[in-house]
Amino acid sequence: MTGPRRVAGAVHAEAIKLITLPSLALTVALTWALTALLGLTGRPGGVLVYTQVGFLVLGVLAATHEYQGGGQIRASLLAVPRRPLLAVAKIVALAGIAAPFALVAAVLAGRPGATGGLLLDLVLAAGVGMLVKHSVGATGLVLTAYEIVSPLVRTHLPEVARLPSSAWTAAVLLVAIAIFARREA
Amino acid sequence: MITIDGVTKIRGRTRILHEVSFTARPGRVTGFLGPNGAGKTSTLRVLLGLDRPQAGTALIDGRRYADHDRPLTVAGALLDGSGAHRSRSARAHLRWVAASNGLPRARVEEVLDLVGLSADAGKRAGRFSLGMGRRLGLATALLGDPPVLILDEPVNGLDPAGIRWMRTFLRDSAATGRTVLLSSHLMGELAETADDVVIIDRGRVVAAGTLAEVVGEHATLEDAFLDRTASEGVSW
Amino acid sequence: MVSLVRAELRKLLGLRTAWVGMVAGLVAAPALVFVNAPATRRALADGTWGDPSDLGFQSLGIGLLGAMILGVVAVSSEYTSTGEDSPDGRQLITTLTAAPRRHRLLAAKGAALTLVVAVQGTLTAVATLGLVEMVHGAAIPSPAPARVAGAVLYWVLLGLLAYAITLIFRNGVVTLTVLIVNSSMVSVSYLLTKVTPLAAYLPDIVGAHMFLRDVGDVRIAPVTAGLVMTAWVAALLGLAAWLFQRRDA
Repeated sequence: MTGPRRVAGAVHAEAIKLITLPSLALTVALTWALTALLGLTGRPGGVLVYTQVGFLVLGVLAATHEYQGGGQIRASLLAVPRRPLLAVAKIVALAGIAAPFALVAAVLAGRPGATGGLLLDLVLAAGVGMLVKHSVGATGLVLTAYEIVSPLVRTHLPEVARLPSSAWTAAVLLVAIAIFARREA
Repeated sequence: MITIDGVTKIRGRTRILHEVSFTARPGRVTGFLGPNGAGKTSTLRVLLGLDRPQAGTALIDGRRYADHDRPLTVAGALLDGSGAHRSRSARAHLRWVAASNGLPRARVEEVLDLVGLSADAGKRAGRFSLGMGRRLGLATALLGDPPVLILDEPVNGLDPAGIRWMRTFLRDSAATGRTVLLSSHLMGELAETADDVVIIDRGRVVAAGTLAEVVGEHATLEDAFLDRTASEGVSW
Repeated sequence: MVSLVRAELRKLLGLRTAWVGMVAGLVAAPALVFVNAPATRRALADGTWGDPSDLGFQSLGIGLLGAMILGVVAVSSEYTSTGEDSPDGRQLITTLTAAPRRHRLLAAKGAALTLVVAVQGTLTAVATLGLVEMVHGAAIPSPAPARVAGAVLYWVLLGLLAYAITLIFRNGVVTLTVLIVNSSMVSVSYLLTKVTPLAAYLPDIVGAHMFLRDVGDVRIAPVTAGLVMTAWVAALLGLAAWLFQRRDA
């Protein structure tokens, strides 16, 4: 198999993994429902913050499910032993599959323009999940960072907060891929 | 053909593998034998690119596992556990594995049939019994129809019928020219299946050769094994 | 029963995530006092700070993360598989083999959790409030002992709430998501108070009235708040116990 076909195969495999995992579908459904319901409360500033929480959890679950019971990570590494390729295929498949779902969520939240932002959050959360491996730990970390630490930083260190979220996502992904490529399975 | 040459693996301060070298040849079943914790699984993990050794090489057909373009068509591996996420169906699991190496979807149904899981293919892997999980793991290993099979304790969790099936399957695989490497601590099982035997103890290869050579003057493989590994008290 | 509680204590304190939660909670709250100090001083001087006696207690909020994480992992650790090699090897199986009477097991787990959370809460409260006095000294009144007790009680009840919710859903991610979001700026409970004032009686926000004066727009007496939150937690624990008794492990 030549280079491009190998990449395509790896991405295709990751896409099948994501589509056939019930917990991910459930998370998307709950996120949509919550967004629509909270929209009725007429919160000033919109309900996108809650939609964002749903996509953060989705990213964490998409990455950490490899490490849950059954030892799927080893099957994954046997099928695609080149780890940077595996990690990149995961991110590409996740962003690609989630894009239409993120668009619907953003529309439900009344902010269709926020789709890209949701995808960046999703991918960042997946990077943290790859690093932490443990779903509860990664959820705690990501949500604490987004919902508790980040508002504080915005108030007290506005110059840090001005970094675009794409920079944060890129940094987390780079670290995650580097560590994923190096550590023992 | 599997060639392991001078593999040394250190984890923390413990030397898990110490210059392990042996080969497993096509057309033969090579039994990899050792007490629990001797380094069998570690050797196989290095061979499959899951762990990195500090020194030495472990090659399949002259290349590291990870350097093959479509690794599943070169070697199939059965490790502990099914490798399938518990909430995914057996068929969905095999589908993603097949896609990763560009294998045709029809192959999924073939291997399901081969290991006798066709009827349960829609069931979630978490609902499988231990034996069914092992068969799903084997189906995964066979997807790419590889000329090399690497199996870690393949009969663990199988019932008597399953053990016989596995033994016949491995013998037939070798007969058709495949290289079969299986680890085990079950002497009787190995004595009936293996052509060649490699014994590892505390990270070092202590004996290697044909079954007859390794048994030597001992009455059984078990005696030969205990003689070479139990130098320091009971080792289970 | 004592040995059962001791076993559960040992299990809880043997979890890495539990320690991360405890230490994070313990460090974050005092750290926040420092980070906030300049802004707080300004607000106090301008008189824009609400009730100055709330000051130290508001800084405590972030330390509650520790209590939540402890409540979650006490259960979720039982349900995750013990290793990749044994997908069905959940710790719960061992636990139930050692202690087959499930109600007693839950009580022991709850007792162990209460102990750990109470100690962690007390330490965090003492450290944070002490620091606030050092930093802002004369500008604020000394914390009333009754309110400190209220804060620690809130701490324990929140830990038990996390424990009950995780038992009900058998999933730590759900609990952690709900509780972290609810303790943040975008609390769903708080949002709901805009829809109906009754939402002020939801378990997580009602309890805050035990030690804070300024919570939302509704005023609830501390004792009432404590009773309502205790009732919530008791009811959820009851439901969790009933489900746990009925379900297959």
